Amino acid sequence: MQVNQVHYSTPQFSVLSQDEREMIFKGALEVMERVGGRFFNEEALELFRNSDAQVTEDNLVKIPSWMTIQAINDAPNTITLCSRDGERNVHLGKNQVYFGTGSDCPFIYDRNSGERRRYTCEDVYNAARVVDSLPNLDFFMSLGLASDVPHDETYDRHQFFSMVRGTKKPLVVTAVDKEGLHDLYQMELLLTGSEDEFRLNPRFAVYIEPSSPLAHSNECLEKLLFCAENSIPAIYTPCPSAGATAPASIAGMLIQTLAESLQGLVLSHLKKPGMPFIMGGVVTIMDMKTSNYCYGAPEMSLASAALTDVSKYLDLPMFSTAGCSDARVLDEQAAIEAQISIETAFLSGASLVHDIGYLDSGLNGSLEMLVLCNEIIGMVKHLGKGITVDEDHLAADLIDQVGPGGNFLTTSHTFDHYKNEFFFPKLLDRHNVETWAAQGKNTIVDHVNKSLDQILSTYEPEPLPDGVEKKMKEIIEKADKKMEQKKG
Amino acid sequence: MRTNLTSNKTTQFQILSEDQCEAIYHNILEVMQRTGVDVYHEEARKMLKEAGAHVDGVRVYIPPFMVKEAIALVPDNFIVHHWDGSDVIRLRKNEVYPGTGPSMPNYIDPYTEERRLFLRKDSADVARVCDALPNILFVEGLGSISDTTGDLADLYEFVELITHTTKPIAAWSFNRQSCESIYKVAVAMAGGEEEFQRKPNFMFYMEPIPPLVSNEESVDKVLFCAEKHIPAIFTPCCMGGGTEPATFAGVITNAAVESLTGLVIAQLKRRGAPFIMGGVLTVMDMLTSTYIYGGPELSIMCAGITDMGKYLDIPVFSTGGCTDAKITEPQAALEGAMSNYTAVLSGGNIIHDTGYSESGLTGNLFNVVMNNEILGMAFRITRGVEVNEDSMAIDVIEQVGPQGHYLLHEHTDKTFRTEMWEPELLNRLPIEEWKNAGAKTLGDKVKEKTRYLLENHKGPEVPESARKEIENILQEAEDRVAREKAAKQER
Amino acid sequence: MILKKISQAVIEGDVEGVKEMANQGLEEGITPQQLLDDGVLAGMEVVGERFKNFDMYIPEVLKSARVMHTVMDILRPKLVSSDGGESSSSKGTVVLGTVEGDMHDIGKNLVSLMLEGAGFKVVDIGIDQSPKSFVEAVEKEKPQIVGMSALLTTTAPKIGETVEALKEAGVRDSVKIMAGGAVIDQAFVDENGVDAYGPSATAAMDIAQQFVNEVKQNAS
Repeated sequence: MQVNQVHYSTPQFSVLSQDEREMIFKGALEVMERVGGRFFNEEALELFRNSDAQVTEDNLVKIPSWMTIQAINDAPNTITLCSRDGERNVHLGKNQVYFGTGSDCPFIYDRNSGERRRYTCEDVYNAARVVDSLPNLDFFMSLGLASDVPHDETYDRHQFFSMVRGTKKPLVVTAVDKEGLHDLYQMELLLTGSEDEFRLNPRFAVYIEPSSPLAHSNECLEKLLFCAENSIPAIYTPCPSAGATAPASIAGMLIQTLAESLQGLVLSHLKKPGMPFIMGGVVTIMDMKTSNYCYGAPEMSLASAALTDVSKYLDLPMFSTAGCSDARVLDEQAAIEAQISIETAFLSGASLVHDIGYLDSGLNGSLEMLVLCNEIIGMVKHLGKGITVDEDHLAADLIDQVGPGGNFLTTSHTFDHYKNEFFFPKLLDRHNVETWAAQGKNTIVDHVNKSLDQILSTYEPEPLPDGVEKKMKEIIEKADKKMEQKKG
Repeated sequence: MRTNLTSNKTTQFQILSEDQCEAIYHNILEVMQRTGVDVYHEEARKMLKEAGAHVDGVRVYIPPFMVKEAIALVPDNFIVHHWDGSDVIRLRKNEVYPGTGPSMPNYIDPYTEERRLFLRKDSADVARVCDALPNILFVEGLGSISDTTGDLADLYEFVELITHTTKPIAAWSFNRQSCESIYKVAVAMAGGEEEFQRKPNFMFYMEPIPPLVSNEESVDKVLFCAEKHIPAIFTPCCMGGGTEPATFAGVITNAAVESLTGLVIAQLKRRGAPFIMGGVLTVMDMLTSTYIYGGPELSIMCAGITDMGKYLDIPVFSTGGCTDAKITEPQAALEGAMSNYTAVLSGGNIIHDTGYSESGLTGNLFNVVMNNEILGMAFRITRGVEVNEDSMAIDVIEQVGPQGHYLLHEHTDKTFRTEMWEPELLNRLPIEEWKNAGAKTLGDKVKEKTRYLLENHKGPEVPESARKEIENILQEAEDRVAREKAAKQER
Repeated sequence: MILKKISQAVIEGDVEGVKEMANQGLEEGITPQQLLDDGVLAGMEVVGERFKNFDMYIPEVLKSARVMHTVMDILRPKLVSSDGGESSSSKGTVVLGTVEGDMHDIGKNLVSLMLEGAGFKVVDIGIDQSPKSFVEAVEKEKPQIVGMSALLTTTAPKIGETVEALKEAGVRDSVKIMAGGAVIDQAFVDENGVDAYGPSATAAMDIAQQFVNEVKQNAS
């Protein structure tokens, strides 16, 4: 009987020390007090005016540190997202990692012609089905931006409809504006039943993006305030690029990003203390030769992991980024960038890891990439199991029985353990070269395509409850009509 | 002015806690004493017995004190030199050196892309390309030469490698004779035996056989290395669920027992003999019975044995950059990325097997070039985030202000070169420009770069005197083999 | 000699050194126009070429542009042409802005800096600009080129609306129109009456150059 043992049940990984996390946080507080942020929304400005914050005429708001600290203290450190059935399966908090897609990519490669074309509602529905079927993806964002809609200003309702039809998994939604979000919420309530129920078992979180550096548009603030009012989980996540919209040093980018997120937190706190808030940031670099906004750079993985370290220090759920690439097609580069970003995001312990499936620097929402990433996430989660060290796993008795020169294949110990200790790939090819050649020299891309064809042709998501589709369509039509009238 | 500040100068990664390392260490000592190991080498058994081991036939039971003594004696750090004196690699805790892997029968021809037998000229090609790649820091030859005197393939390979790159070679050989010849070549390159003793320019790789067997050849070689002060890599290729238990902790235990048996023998031969533990720790594929080079188990267990090496303060031979894919394709990319990245994160010292493909049957130079890029990414990440007044840039944020931009700020110009890693092959061109540039995948670019290096990178100039000596050594070896052959035929 | 030095200073981004060189050049009796053409712009040409071949980083290019402007500030009073304008010191005028509803302007900023670097006069009217403001800017500045950016799909249609507004105001044909932003592609350009789009800042530079050449050819 062993006593006084401390084991790493999982690998341990960090980028920043405790002191450095504190320095980033204090740096953000300093920026919020000294530099401030611009808020382009009257209600937000009014809330700040009625607080101890300073509001000047050019929409600039400077927030004293104590207000920020109070808002952080009141913010929940755990938020649970539910499936359509109300299964509470995504627990946002420190060191619990969930993977999902990104949203609103304009383009997709057509499965039949291979051509790059605009996303449709059907594509979003297919992406939802694919995510619904893949075991290592935990939540769904639209992946694509539905373009076959009557009005660009109301696309969000059509897109959301495709999403809920395709998957039961928890969602992260995007909305054009407050009215859009209101409609999505009404559509969701048809499924959830009531606002009380949604508050206890929220089905979705809302993605809201302030503009780096330190600016908050009217649309984004309206959405944030709507979330606060209704206790809808809000993800407040800027997309800075080091050297362009943020300092070129990663530490500086982290400070600015955190300040942007926390400015949103303080505002939501003024509206409703303790509303469910998720911090975040797609923290990456601008490539200094091509000006590309990089989705596959190692700096993105590094900075995301560092920001996650800060989020754990603050005990706020974190929205991180991985599984995306600057490759223009599904090639070796896409595989490498997906692998490194997914492994880093997982090891860092971010709560929601989004953008799985992005190719072409966020312009192409690739179903193929989703299937590939599902495999990579499986591998990384296996790595995340760490090494179990106990008498049974140390296996001294077994080693003694088998002895030097023996074999372990036929032992019952192997039979008992291999299923848990080994990873069973779906796509990786481990055949010998003869078998591989006989089967047609498949690359992993071929295996991805086969697997994807299989899903698309056979996977049936659970249909929406009776009558819900019709009511949802009514909400959508109403919005479209209103837009038509507005446009005249 | 700050005080009492602790910074992560690099990323931090660990898979085993202190207590877990200790538990595995105790398990290792138990197996060595209780189960014992088979040592097929008479001189070694005699030495072990005299030092206090219990010997029964080939079975040797090694008591903990002998293991502890050996661990106390082995250097916790040593240096291997580039033969031209231009650089060194430092084998010590958390210093990371990735490189290629050894001796596969087949090779992907870098021009026809056909799989064929490995040739002598390929060894020179591999060495030249590795010489040019900034993140490949030691070299193994990828293939076993098929077009020279068979018994001397190991020696010819070493000659080709060391004369085409200055980076330290991890050599291998069939037997002790070749090992001696290889040593002579290294001495010739160093400029004399005394010079070599001061500045060793290669390491020697040998394999005990799991489970728990030290065969005659490997012990022969480790004794020779100890005698000549050649850094010895004495590490097994473990197959969990086949030649080792199916549990990670069991595989790590046995791998360490196999390495440490060599360590004890080496230290008995010569106190302070430089020694490296570790190995290829992976599992058997339960569908195809393949020895898996691209699974996450390999990364987990190599990180585990690395933590053990750090716990015991012995340099570690880790594994990365290898794949079960047959050709250069995304599977090779993601498997290479996972194993090299994890091995770098964990701090393995000599991380070998970049370029291993088809589960260790085919050498693939394209994959080496591709992994050079992967390692660049890995190194950027492990360099971590620097947090200080300058990098925090609060004044800069204030000067730029809300809705401003940083493109013109001096801070950007001053910092971006160190903060940002620049890829050589990864695409960041917008799709239109990427198409205009030929719509090349990373695989295409890797192939182009490999061919460019083959055609343009010459490798180092070898001093004429060394070249002559090497020719003599080769001639001597050929004569020896011819004599042995004739003697065999007479019998 | 001094011309070559000035070119070199532009290429190397030597803001401090170039002032003295420019003044020295004037003292030596070299004409302002020659200092500009064979010194500054010759250097910028090398910079542009290197940047296009990925031999130079963006911050370095921008530094070169800063050197160019430093020299221009010295030369400008002496360069004033007969009609009192600055035509001889600029390749042409570009009105740039981000369309209504869009606050993403880093791409536009980059294009603006690059165009200035290439010798254009850029009038940047900022973010969230209505079709009306574009029309006003065109009427006031009389540019050869109008550039619009939109990052979001929801704001991209504003580009088309702005083109319409320019038509209605009767100034559409006096300018070439280019557009940029992540969601803009050839199909969009065709549908919205835009003349060209650039997938990158470099591409935008090339397009602007081409436009100006066309305008010049048509004029001659």
